[in-house]
Amino acid sequence: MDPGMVCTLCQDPFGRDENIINSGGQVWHEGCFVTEGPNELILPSNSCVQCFQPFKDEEFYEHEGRKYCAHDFHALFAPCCSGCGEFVVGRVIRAMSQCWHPNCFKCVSCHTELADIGFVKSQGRPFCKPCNAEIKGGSKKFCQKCSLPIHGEHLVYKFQIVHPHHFNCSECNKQLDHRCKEREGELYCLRCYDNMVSAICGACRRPIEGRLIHALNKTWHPEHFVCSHCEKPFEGRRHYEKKGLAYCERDYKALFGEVCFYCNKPCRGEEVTVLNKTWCIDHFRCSACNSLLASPRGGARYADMDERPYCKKCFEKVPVELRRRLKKQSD
Amino acid sequence: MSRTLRKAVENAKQKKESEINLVEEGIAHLEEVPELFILHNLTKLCLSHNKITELPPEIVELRSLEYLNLFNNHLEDLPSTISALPRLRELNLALNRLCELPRGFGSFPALEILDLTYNNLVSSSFSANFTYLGGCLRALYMGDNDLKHFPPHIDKFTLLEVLVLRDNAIVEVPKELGKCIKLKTLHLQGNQIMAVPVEFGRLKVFGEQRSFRLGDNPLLPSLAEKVKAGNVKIFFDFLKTEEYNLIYLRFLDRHEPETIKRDKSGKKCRKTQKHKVPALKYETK
Ligand SMILES: [Zn+2]
Ligand SMILES: [Zn+2]
Ligand SMILES: [Zn+2]
Ligand SMILES: [Zn+2]
Ligand SMILES: [Zn+2]
Ligand SMILES: [Zn+2]
Ligand SMILES: [Zn+2]
Ligand SMILES: [Zn+2]
Repeated sequence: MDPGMVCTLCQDPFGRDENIINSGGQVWHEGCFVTEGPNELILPSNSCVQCFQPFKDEEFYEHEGRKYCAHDFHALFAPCCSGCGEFVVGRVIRAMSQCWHPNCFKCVSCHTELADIGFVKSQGRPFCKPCNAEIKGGSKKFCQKCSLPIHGEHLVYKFQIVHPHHFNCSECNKQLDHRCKEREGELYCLRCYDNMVSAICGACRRPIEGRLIHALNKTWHPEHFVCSHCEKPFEGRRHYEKKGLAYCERDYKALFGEVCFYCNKPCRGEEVTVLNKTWCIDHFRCSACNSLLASPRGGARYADMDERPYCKKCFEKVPVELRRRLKKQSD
Repeated sequence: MSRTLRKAVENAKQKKESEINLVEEGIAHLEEVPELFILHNLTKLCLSHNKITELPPEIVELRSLEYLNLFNNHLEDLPSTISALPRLRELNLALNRLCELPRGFGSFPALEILDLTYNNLVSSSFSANFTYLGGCLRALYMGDNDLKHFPPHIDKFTLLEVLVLRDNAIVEVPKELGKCIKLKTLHLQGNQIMAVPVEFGRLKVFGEQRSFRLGDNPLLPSLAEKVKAGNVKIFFDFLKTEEYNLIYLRFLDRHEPETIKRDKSGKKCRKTQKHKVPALKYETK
């Protein structure tokens, strides 16, 4: 201890075993630090009343006449979000006897924000009304292991509907997806399963030894998995399915049509046809910022320049002079 | 800002992400974050609405890149290495300040969609091997430039489905265009075109999912009338008639170019402060 050190208030030195309050680079006797109750702290006004540290960048929160640093203010007065665990500053959603950020309070099934549309509590979890209706109607499946809804493919294991990702392959321990197989009560990934059971070719019906191909829910000798039209084997090239048959890219395009403007492949999944072109729904994006323009729930909003799609925000950044000309031409 | 870019690069590296999207972040200098160019697995890079004036030659290191978007930047030049990007399928350079294309620009091995809309390109900007793009290119957008001519050897662009040359200064339509039989969209509005060749009649740019524009051109009266009527099929049928054949032959014989005055000084991309770096001198001893 610096022997010449004196108290900020009374200017007296400190006794040998006396407690010293050290705050913001200054020191006080215990008795000198607080005078009349906590409101009258003799403190440089740029320090937090809770931790006594000076404010960083002059930033503080005022609550009932007292100043706090951000950390202590949050710890004392701002509630924690049950969704993300962070403090909630600003709008607090109080629901199901917990606090939430408006964008953390979501339907556990479809992840829609619920703050402004209302919710239904079911099995202790919040759902939006449409999802709740689907659950009640039985059209939505729930995992019987974690009781969350199942999006995508489920697995039936020991008479229960479950998420496949709760299970690992009994042989290689890889996390499983819905394509895994059960054998004598154990689950296996396809590769391990095939190594145990000899597969039968979907074309020639003979067992397959060595390399095999999984496609169309069957197994095939590589040389027997062929395009249903030209009958050439795919040999690792991508195939396209239609009504349970496989086609090569060329024949699929010729027979069934729509090719995506971006990927130049037959459209996968839903397609969007506007501006004299067709896109896979995932490839229908703003030509400037690459953001998705169509939602699978229907509807696509876009602006048109040279028959390329733009989002509203990007189109507004196109020089006014050019936008005016484009508009004149389209009239 | 290079901080945002650095963070995105760091993130992509750690999480092995294959896409970087940094739209309107005030980025001016890519060379300040050299780590960007070691992302060999990057497939998509979107840097639209920034302030990039120069693309470092190291761009070629992004050898998995399939999509590069530089829409609305301040690019005045491109490095000649760019055309060596082996997998690039879409390149968007619209709304920049390009006056020329680099040497060898035609050698992209896989480019399918090229957007050069709203730059300052002129017919001499086409690099000598521009024609090589014809091997893959499906869509070429060059509206709002200062082209007097079509891209050279347009008949070599046999896969071309979309050709937009709106708002240039094109006088003549080459008869070779008739060989681009995959063309579904052809936009030639706002040029100096008086007549189209008879071979044009072969194009299938009308009907479902097709589009043709020729308005705002000093067309011969007989053509102007048909364009105005708005039925593209009737227009194309007319091109195939003996009557038009005669009109066109007469036109080729003696035509005094009639030009429409257009003031393009309002274009934003005109405001470039071109600072030419003096060429390095070789010292010969
Ligand atoms: Zn504090
Ligand atoms: Zn939260
Ligand atoms: Zn589950
Ligand atoms: Zn396994
Ligand atoms: Zn077989
Ligand atoms: Zn085939
Ligand atoms: Zn696609
Ligand atoms: Zn956009």
